Amino acid sequence: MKELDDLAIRVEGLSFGFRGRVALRDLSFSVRRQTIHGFVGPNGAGKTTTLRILATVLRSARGVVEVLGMGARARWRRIRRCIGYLPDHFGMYEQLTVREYLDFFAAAYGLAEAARMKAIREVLALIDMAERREDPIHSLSRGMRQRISLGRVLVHDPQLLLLDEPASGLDPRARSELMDVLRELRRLGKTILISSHILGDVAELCDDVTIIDCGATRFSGRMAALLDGQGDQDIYLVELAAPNADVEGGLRELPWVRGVELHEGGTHYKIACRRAAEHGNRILEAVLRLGGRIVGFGLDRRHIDDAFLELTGPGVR
Amino acid sequence: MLGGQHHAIFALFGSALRADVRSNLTYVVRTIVLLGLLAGLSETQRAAARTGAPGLHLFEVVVMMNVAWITLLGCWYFATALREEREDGMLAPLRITSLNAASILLGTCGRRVVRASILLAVQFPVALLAVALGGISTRQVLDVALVTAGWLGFVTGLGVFTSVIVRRPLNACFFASGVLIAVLWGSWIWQILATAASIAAGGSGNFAANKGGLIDAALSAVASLNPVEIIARRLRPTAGTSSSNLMAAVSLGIGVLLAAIGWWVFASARRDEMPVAKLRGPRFLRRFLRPPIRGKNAIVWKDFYLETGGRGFFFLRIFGYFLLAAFCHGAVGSATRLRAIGFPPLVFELLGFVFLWLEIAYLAARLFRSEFQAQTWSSLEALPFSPSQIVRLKLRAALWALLPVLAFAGYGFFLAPVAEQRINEALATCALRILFTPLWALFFAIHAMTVAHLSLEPRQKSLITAVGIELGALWAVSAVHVCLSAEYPMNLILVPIWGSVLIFAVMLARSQFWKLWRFLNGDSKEPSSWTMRPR
Repeated sequence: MKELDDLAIRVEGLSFGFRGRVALRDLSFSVRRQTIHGFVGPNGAGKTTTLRILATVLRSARGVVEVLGMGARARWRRIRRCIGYLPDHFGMYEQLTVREYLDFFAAAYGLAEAARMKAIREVLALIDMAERREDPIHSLSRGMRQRISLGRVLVHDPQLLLLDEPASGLDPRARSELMDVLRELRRLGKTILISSHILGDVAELCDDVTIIDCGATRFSGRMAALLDGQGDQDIYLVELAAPNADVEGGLRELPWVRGVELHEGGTHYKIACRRAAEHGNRILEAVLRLGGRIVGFGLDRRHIDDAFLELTGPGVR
Repeated sequence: MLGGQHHAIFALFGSALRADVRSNLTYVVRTIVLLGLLAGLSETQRAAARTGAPGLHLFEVVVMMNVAWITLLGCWYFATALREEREDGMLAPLRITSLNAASILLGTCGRRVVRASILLAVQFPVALLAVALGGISTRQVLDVALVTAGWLGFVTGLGVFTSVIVRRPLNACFFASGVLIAVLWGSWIWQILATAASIAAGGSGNFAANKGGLIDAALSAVASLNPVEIIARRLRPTAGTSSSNLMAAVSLGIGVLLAAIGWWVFASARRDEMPVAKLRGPRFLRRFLRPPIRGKNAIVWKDFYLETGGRGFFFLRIFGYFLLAAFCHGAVGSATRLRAIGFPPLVFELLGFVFLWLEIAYLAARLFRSEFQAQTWSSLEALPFSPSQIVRLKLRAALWALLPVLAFAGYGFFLAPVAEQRINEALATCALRILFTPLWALFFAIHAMTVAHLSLEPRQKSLITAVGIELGALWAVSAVHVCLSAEYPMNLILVPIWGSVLIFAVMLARSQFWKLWRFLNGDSKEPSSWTMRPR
């Protein structure tokens, strides 16, 4: 029960289809509170549909969808007051100023006038746009608009943020600044579910990740588990100054080593062993004892791109 | 080099024509023109028994219809000639090709002129028919054709000028409409204002006493371009002297001059590449025109200030309807000028009805379309409101915006001078029955719903399509009724009934009402996917 209370989102067996096409099939994942959860998948995998269901904009056909402990179908109005949803494609009311735009959404969420002014001040400070508050939206750059949109979903102080591709089309600096804002929001206790194609950012930013493909879950769990990704074993990389046949033979004889691969003409070793904290030190000791001159050593963590490609299939959905 | 330029112009022109062929609007406009011609023939056949010169009657109807729709095109179609290129961000790419400014303007504006000219040209057999029917000479037909062509040239030049100078489509429409209103009614409006000022100062308020002066002279000079008066004088020489050819040449010349200024500005200023200006005007004025949100009616506030034009447009409409009411007030006694050009007195009673109908159509057409076009609906639908609640809030804003026209309609029917006499006159002409028959309320409701649900599909030109369907339905019902009963004018009670039924049937056949129903109930599978069509 405690575990369920810790969840901001719980999705189990969710299926959804439209126009005779199945968009989601038996999708399951959960998002822990006060974490940043990455939601990745190929184009057409069902990410936007899932986020729209979580935002209660679409009604799910089958499965359990709980947002902040509330059923998405029955308590959609309450859920919408507690979440901030940033869609992937959105426009803005170009004729309004930044302050009017935020004020409109704050008022739409039912905030009183004094509370609105305070919220707008705080949000503008957070997204570093206080000096542009009287500028019309149409005069802002794309990066600024993205910041204002993020401010828009924060203006009613939601507990959970659903962000659909918030960094798409931004330059590297604007993306980095956006990531900083998201980290700050996590520090403030918000839960963030972020869909993105920029896997490097997801790996760097997120605590947990869900990968979906063809509407089904391929992986859901801690980011570290995805990047380690070898089940109950670790893989260590050892680089020697020169090839050494004794080292290979000696390593293979160790009882907890499951395999040794040689690369680059015998100077690079890839050693698979049962997961245990002390095995890194033991490998170093063994190599040195066997006469190897070590010039490089490390744990082989998969790049998120590799994990993504392994878990998802080719082709257009 | 020149050859390349020609190829590029033809490519631009060809792509524009292909886009027109694929557009529903092209066929809707052609249908409306065809229905107008048929209505003119029907009216001529009806009037032939009691009046002479049926050819003149037919030609007058057709020509006035042409002038009216050329003017309407000038208010909207020509004035926004560069809109699509601007919205699609195509102007900058076009400029870096081998095309010069004149070629771009020719390619984008030229097709609109061609479309209008084709619609005029296809009416030539009707003109010949009018000559054959009697009451009008070939010379008069040619003179009127020249005046119409001159007016088209003026409106086109004004459109080119406006579309270059004014970048926002709505502002462009306002600007062009303002100029055209000044040409058509500027002199009258000035007379009304001068009369009102004279009455306020204790003067006689005599219409003629306010003649003279610099402004009056300037407005009279502008009004001399008015094609309606020129045509009326040419067709009915008793209405005044005619110098139609000279005025046609002057109109055309002014149009060419405006187009040349537009071309020069477009070629030299590069305004489209510049960032859009920030908000202008003093802060107190901006806050007066768009005050902060009071209370929690955010959507009502947003729609009132963004979709219906807000306080500025609200006061502008009050002013416009005030002028119109003052004009009706002043002209109802004598109405010499209107009668001189063939307007029946009944037009005053019908004005409120027509403007109410148009305003409902305008507001209903924007109900969803602007949200979808600007892609703002996806933000709005995540608010803690159901779609039907959002629509109700939007309707509240629209009702505020309708207050001026409702007041105008009320004035027209109840508050006009010699109210009793006017009501009796109106009753005699069935005009009051139009508003007091509950079935017309049903017609208005169906009308609003038709336009609103068509606006769910933003590329379908909901307003034009709905107006076309409604006019077509009403005309078809009237025609069938006349054919079956040989009675005219037909019973006004039957028109809304059968008109509504027909419209409802057409929309039901299109399966559109179900979309609206599903949308409002929030159980649509994927609203934005079927409403947002790729551009």
